[in-house]
Amino acid sequence: MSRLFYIAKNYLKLIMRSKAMIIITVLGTIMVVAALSSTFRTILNEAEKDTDFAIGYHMEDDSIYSIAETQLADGFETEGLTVIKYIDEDPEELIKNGDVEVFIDFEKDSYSITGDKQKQIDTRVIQYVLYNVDSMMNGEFQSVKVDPEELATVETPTAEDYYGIVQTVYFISLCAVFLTPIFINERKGNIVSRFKISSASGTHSYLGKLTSCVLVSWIAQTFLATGALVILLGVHIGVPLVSIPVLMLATAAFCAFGMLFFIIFKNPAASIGLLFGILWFAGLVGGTFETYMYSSFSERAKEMSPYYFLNRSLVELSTQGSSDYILPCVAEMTVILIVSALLGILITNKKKEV
Amino acid sequence: MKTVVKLDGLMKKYDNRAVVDGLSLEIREGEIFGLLGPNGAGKSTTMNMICSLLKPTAGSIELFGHDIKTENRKVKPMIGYIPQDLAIYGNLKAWENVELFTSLYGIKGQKLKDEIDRSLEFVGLSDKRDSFARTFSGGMKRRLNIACALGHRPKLLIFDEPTVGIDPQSRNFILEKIKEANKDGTTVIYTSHYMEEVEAICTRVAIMDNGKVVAIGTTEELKNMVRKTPDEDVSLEEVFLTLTGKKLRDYVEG
Repeated sequence: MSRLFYIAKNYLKLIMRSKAMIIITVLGTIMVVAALSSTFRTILNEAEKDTDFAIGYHMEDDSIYSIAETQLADGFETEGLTVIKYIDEDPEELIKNGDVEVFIDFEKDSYSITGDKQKQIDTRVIQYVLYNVDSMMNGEFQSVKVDPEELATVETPTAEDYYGIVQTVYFISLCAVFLTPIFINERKGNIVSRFKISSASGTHSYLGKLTSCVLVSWIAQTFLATGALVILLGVHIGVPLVSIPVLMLATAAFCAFGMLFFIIFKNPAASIGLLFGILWFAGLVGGTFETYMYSSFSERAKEMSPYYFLNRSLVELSTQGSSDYILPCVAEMTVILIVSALLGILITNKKKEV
Repeated sequence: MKTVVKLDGLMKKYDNRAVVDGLSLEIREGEIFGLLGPNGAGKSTTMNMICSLLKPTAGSIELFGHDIKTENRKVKPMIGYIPQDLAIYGNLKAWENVELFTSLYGIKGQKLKDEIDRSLEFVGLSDKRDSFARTFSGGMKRRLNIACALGHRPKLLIFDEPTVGIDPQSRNFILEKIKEANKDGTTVIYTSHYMEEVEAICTRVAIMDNGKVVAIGTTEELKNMVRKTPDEDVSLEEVFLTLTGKKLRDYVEG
């Protein structure tokens, strides 16, 4: 353990002494996220408008909502949604066939919403509209089972909710760049041979690098840059007690993943270039640039991106306060961390000849 | 005297080309053993195999009676390697460099601090302990390079051309320190292209060419090999050129 401590300590010093790199990375993250959130706000709004979103509904004859049927339909159409009335079709079947994305069943004094799980956020749009209709009717529907207070807290994701957090995640995923000063130093001289002939194993060297990179990334990106984005741009972090540990785990996983490139290619510039390219594509598929709600990529493709579950968990934590995607996200990040670390250790040790 | 290094039929081949070809020799405790040879003779490959940086194609290496293949862990703490290329971090201070490389041998706490002080003192860098290595002159970097290999008190020091590109004062200092370390009981293997250095410090010398030892002995014994008369004044360089030839050696690594 003492070996690892001294290696990590000195690597940490090497990274922290590259002040320009840290400042550029933190400020760059803040500036780019601010610029992109602003640019993508328009795209997000356009995407919402352009989306062909059909709502089916059934109204019981004696439903208290029947007197507001016209207002309800108008409310949806104002939001750019197509509304179709059904008499006695099966909601599940309609959704399965793709006839509608959401089905609202207005019963005597309540209503229930059935939606495609993948369109969860859009379902919230419906709830939002319904709440507005409730309000418009001046509380005429006192017996409605939906809790107005609960509905009042439900919001559609804004650019800050969505792009703020997903782009913060994207920049965190590039944090292996902090390893550059270590690898540049080691490339210049014959330092690697000194490690190889020592009593320390390749595992010590690997873990020393990973530990220092993760620590700097947590400080600079997970806390400093993200904190600044929350304060300055109003980026919604969701539920801090859940979101922050998820972000910290993701940081460690992406450090280990990025470090693989440095170990394999040895050339820091080539490693960073390739890593950025791969993560850019993964980000594109996983909802970093094109939102996952309106993405043209298939569900399977999206799930293959390391960003998808992560983005979705954090966005939903921000907009809904909870997410069904946290567990798969944590599992995926843990797998990335462990597999990358094992591969990294294997390659590092394999380079020790005898 | 005990045998510190024993090479037996050592061979290293690259694409069926033998860079080291059946090398057998012994280095005894307390020696400063010079390894000479033209470029591509196989000196660095031999040293890299002794240091476990390269796997031999055939043959065996014993250090302090331990086979390096099977008892590598026992052998490693006994070796201090000073590579020709500087192996220090420019953005770490002098003491931090020594701390990092000494800690690789499991030394920690107060003992580590003491060893850092001792190593820096030995190479005359105590007053520069808090300076960044990148700010050092060529000679100072070479000295720090040596200090980084001393902290774990190795019994065998391997110097691979440690005086390349430095001023005469620094060179003289380094040579004096090698002799001082040797007096304290450390066995030294030394390679250099500077014959006068080898002549000044080495107790025994092996001249390699084409992966084989072409001559081995004290400098006087080697000189006697080429002397035409007992009184003839012969330099080690003349011995070297006589044994390895005057033809230029263009050498491509690997």
